[in-house]
Amino acid sequence: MTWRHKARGYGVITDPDPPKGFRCQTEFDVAECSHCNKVIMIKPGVDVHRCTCCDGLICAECVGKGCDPLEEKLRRWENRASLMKAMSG
Amino acid sequence: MARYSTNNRMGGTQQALTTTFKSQVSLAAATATLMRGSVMDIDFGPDGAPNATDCQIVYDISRLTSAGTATAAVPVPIDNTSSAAGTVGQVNFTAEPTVTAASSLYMIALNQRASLRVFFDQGLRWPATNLNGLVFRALSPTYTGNVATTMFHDE
Repeated sequence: MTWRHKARGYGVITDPDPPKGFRCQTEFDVAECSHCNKVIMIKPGVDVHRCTCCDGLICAECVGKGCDPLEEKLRRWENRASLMKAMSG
Repeated sequence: MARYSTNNRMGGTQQALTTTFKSQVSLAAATATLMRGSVMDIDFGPDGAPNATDCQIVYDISRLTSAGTATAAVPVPIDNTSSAAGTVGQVNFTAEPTVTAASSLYMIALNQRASLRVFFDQGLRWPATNLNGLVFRALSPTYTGNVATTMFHDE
C-alpha cells in the first residue's frame, strides 16, 4: 500500500473485563469505502480492495461493481430530491 | 468547515434498549439550512449497570430519510467561534425514523461492559437533502439499560 491507500481512521474498544488473552484496550484501523461509505475494519497484513479507476479503498461488496464514487452518489441523491420537489410543485 | 458535537444526554429521556433497534442520535440535513455533513468521530457504550447475564449490545449507524419522533438537540460547535450548525440533531427517539433498507454503514456487537470510540478517515457523509442523514441505533437481547453516544460531525 502506498500512503494514499492507507487507512487513516482508527477505533479503540475499551472492555474492562476482556476475554482471557485479550487486552482491556483493542485498537484497530478503519477506512470508509470510497463507493458506498461503509466502514471497513482493516485486518493487519490483509490487503484492502482498491478501485483501479478512482484509486480509493473500497469494501468487498463494491468489488466488481464498477466505479461509482460516493461524491457522485451524493450528487445524484441531491438532484433526485430537487427534481421530486420541483415536480410536486 | 466546522465540527459539532451531539449526544443523547442533551435532551429528552434516554430510552431503554430492547431486542429491536432503538435510535439514540440522528443528524440530518434540513431545508432551511440545507448542507452536506459527515460524521468524523463517534463514541458509544452502555450508560447503566450491566445485566447479571453477560450479553452483547449491537450498535449500528444507518441512513435515514424521515425524522421519527424524538427530542431536538442542537449540535454544539467544538470551536465556539463557529456559526450555529445547519444540521438538525435529534436524540432519544420514542418513534423510530424511517431507516433506508440495507443502508447500514457500520454495525458492531460489543460486550455490555465495552465501549468504543472510532475516528473516521473521510467521514460518514450525507447529502444536502431535507431529512436525509445518519442515525445511530442500538439493541440488545438481554441488556435493558441505556446507552450513551456522542457523534461529532463536520459541515
